[in-house]
Amino acid sequence: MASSSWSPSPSPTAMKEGDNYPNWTELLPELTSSILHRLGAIEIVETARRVCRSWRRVCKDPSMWRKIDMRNLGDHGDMYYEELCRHAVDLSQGGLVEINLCHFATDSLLSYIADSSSNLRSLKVAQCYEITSDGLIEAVAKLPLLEELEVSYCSLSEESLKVIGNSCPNLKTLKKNCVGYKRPRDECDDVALAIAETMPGLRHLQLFGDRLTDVGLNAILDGCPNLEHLDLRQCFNVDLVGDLEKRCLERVKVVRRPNDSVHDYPFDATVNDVSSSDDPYGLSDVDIMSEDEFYYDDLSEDASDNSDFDPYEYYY
Amino acid sequence: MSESDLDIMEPQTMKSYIYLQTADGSVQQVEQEVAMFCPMICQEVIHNGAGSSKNHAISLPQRVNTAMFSLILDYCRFHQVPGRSNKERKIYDEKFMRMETKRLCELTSAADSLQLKPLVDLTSRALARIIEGKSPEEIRDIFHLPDDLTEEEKLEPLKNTMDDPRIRLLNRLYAKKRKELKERERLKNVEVEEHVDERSVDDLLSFINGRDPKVVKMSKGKKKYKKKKNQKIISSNDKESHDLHFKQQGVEDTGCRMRDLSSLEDEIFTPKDGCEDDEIDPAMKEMLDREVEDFARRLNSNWVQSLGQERRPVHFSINGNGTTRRHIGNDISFFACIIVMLS
Repeated sequence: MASSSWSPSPSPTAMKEGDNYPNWTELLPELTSSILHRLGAIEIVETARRVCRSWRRVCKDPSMWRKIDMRNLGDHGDMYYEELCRHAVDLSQGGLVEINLCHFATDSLLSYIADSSSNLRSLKVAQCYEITSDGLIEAVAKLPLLEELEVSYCSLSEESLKVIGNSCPNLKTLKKNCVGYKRPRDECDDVALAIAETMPGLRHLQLFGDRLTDVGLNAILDGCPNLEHLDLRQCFNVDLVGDLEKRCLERVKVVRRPNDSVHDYPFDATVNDVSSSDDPYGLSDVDIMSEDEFYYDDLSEDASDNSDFDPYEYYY
Repeated sequence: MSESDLDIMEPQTMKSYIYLQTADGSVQQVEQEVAMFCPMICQEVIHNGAGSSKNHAISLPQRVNTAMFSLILDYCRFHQVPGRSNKERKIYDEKFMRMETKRLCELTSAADSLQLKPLVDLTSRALARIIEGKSPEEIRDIFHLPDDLTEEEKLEPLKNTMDDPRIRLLNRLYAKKRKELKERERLKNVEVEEHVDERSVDDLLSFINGRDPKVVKMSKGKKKYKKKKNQKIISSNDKESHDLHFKQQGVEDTGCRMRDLSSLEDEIFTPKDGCEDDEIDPAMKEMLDREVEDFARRLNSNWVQSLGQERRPVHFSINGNGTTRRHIGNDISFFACIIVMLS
């Protein structure tokens, strides 16, 4: 039962300790902040700030919202999470430095974030199927300090990559992962070339499942002299042998090779093994949306026409 | 061995010890390499030359009592050994973290005062894991935190960034209802006049749909997440995880739940300070109160009658940005959802 005022817990330990409980209040506010931050934005908003007054205060502080981690989505609709995200961004009061979004993110949300958080250093939009290339470009144009960008499993044109590269001179990390293909015929160096051309400052590049070939790889090695970490897992068109291999290993400290283990890869690493030839491009780079549950309502999309439906007919 | 001997000991011939005094006054001698694992102790030794003898023992911060200190020393003793593999360390850490919640809190605090960041991270992570997935009430129980938020604050939704007038209206009505119920609680012993509203359902519906110009011109209210609110209401009382969603068409399924809600009502709206409401014309207030109350009564009684066997969870979401994927299909059903919660 919900109690309206604080009453001591009936548990035996509390009885023994007396007023030495509650221990949490002994912790400095800064510790509470760092502990609660680990819960992720959603749980902070939904749960943590509703526990008690001191936690509520901590949860409202802008310092809690410098890094927003929108993980552990529950079963609310996308609108709910978008709203929650906006709220979190508001709470940061312009101090947002890092944010990662999920499938609920839209172009308008991105725009909202970009408008209020020009200091953003890290943006992750993995598996955001509703974000368009244009939306992304527009947002990134307002984020000149961006150092880290992840656009995995999103539909992003290669041209947009170039625009992004040009908008963000400080870009040090790029992750553009997609579903790996096991069909050597299906080659494409566009992504690699775009990166090589416009992102000279890259230190960390992850192109899981990309369709680049040796040509693309060479271009990257040329165009990104500061590369320290290169992840080419499931890039089956790259033949990392001989001179290319040597060059790669010389210039880059850590190289994940096409056939390396995927045990530490955060996404689903199932390889697309489409062998039929009448499907030249296989599936799109966007991952199969099997996990998404779209709450399509039974009512028609047209809001105004519900004349035949009267929910109160039961009550007459 | 006399103290002066210890003072001039050499590292090669003898193990070096650091002298540390815990909050309760007892002095302990600890192997140098173990103690120096704590940055705070390290600093004291190097910068202030302290800890070399019993008389010059380093006073540990108040939060480090003997029990905590012993734990911390165990941790340092293990980790300061350079040869261990990451896996070894990880296994040790996992085992080390298995302790009562209260100790975990104390340990976090103690480790923090000694600036032992790896241990602070470890304990913080463990505490976060304990908090994860629990309800506010469960968390309060575990950590013995005071239940000092108002009911309003507990149910507070996210900030309203939507401008839908219908939502504002409904929020307004809900707020009025809440306030009225709080008032009632306060005047528990006084007879409350029952307002009999003679108006038909149609009139009420037209009022709701905003054809009454007075009603539409409301000040901004807060957007509320009905689903979440309902979850909170129910879980706080029944301690079950009812999945109270509202489908735009199928509110009849939730008839059974309404009974729960109406019994919860009094529980929730206990008199508390800090209920701030925007100023509203008192006549309007009264009208609204009557509307809402009567409608709620009607719906509640009717719903209970029309109980269905099936109780599937129904989904309800609010469209704020004009996207057509999900939206309020029907003013009436939308309001009905709100009323359901009020009753």
